[in-house]
Amino acid sequence: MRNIVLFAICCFLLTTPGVFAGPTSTNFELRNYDFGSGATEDSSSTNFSLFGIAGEGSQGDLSSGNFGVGAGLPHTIMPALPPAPTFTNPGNTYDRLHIIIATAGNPSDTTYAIAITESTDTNWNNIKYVQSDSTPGTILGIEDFQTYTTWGGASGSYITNLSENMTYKVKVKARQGNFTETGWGPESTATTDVPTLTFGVDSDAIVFNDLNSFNNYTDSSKSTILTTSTNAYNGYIIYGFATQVLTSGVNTVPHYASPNSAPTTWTGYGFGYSTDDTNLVGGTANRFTDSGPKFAGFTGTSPGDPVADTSGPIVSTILSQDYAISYRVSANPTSLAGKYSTTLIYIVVPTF
Amino acid sequence: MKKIIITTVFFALLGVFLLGKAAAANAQEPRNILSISPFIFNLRLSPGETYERTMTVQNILDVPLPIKLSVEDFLVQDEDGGYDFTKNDSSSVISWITLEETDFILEPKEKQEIRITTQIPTKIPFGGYQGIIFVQPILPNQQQYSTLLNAKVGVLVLANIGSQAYQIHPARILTFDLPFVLFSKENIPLIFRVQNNSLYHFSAKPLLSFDPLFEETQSYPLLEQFLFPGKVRRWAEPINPDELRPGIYTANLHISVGNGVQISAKKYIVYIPQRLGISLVAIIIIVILVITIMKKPKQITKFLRILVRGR
Repeated sequence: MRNIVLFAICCFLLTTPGVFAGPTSTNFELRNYDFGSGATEDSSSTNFSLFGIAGEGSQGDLSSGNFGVGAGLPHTIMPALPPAPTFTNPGNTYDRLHIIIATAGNPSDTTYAIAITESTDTNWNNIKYVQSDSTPGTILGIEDFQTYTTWGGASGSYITNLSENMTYKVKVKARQGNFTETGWGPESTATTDVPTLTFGVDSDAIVFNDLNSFNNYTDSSKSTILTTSTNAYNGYIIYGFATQVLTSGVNTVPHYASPNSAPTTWTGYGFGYSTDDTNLVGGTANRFTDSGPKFAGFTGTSPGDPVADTSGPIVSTILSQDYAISYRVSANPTSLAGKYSTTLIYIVVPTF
Repeated sequence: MKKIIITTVFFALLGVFLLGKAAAANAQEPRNILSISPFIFNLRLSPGETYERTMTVQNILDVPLPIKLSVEDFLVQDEDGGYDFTKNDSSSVISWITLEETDFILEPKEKQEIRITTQIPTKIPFGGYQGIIFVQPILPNQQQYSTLLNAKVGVLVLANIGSQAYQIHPARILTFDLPFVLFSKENIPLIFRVQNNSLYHFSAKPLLSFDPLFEETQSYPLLEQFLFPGKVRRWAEPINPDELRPGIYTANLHISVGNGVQISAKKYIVYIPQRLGISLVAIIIIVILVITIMKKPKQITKFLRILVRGR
């Protein structure tokens, strides 16, 4: 009986308002001890009114050119606004730019989105968002918010599919769960380059030694240096072909019999070439240099066979890269005397 | 007198040595001839429209250089993506492109902009087309030389005609080969082949990721390559996932094929470093031996007796 009476008294006290009221003043009364601060009539204007709990009150003097204090509880749990990212073109590339996000010390599970537009787009009217595959797109999806690590971490990543010779600006925002998205941070700019391909050979012609019994009708001392400079992302290939076999009137020295795909150590007669490219497309990569030099004969049709190449990705401009093509001509002693000639054409094309 | 002779001989030898060096340097001196920019036009065009682009050709030499421009078709080879300059009647790029000039002389170090006009017919099947503009120096006919050398530079023209409509499956992964068990994380052979099922060319951007059971996913971007309509492209490159730790992974291959579309394939792999693998095998053998001894001690004793005594 005693217990029932005590329980009834407790229930009465707990449900009776005003008995355990919080702090009060002439203007407000704190009705409970939940987290949050009270909103007053000052928290409304002709344009807005604040409903619910306000985490931080926003006043005109709580912002400046560099910062602003936002209203509402979500604002208090937002990640820090990302500073301007490091945005560069380290390899003088023409279709991609490199970005390293600045985290502002946010936790590792914070995700970031990147916006990009041309630098002349002052008001970001043609804003695009870097998609999860690092290409610009028109829609910002939740999957395009990626962690600092996924954006390449301290090494950064490339934004691709950009136009050549164009200055772009980027800005970054962060989020860490629902209702925590920050505004866009400050901008950085970088410029894509012009795609350039420069090519040359070290001479207009080669003159073989007179072939006679003293040199065993052979000359293997001549070579050509092929020089290429480019910022082609996928690299380049140099093809070579001869417009004809070595010819003197109706007499000829044939092309060396082995094909480019299977060059051999020199044997017999003919006019052939070797390359110092140890990683050549079109067959076993080091087929000319392994236990070499190995030789192959030129083909007679354009563009010919690959004689040198550099494969991508080229993330830093190649400056004057040299490949040496060495020749060997070995005439049959029964060949008729005469001035034998041909034209070799080297074609450089970008790899796609 | 003796000193003078020695000094003379010394300087004579030095002179011969230096001249030889200079001659060798001249013989092998790399020499750029011409430069072009851009080297690729990746165009999206519409039927009935006319487009203008410019290409810059520069003479790098200190002498005037006659230049000849020409446009050629080419086909794309399957798998390796090489060029095939066999005449291709199905492509009309040659007939669409007009070059402002095809024969001209560049003064030493001179740059010249060439206007390229592309006029697309009003009735033309949508799809991808390609051609190449060759820039070739014209060399004088030097009969005194046995072998003349010449250089050509190709400028790639890739054109997609018509709007590139969204397609759910513009490409598919034909094969994705990665060893099931990896004993080393160096030069892991990776081969995959992708076929372009669409009418258009696009740049495919692969990303290989290793998803472990508990740790963070590791991603490795691979070489981007163009995929041409109907063609198969092969990627064959060794990868070096430095951060891989022993364990079971899902190897996911995601290939971005444009318009926000990704195609993907996955494989399960196990990474056991060689030393760890040997240790595991040794442990397993020992465990099997111990279990066998414990379960059949009489047979083992008999077996050992026969082994030792021979009967």
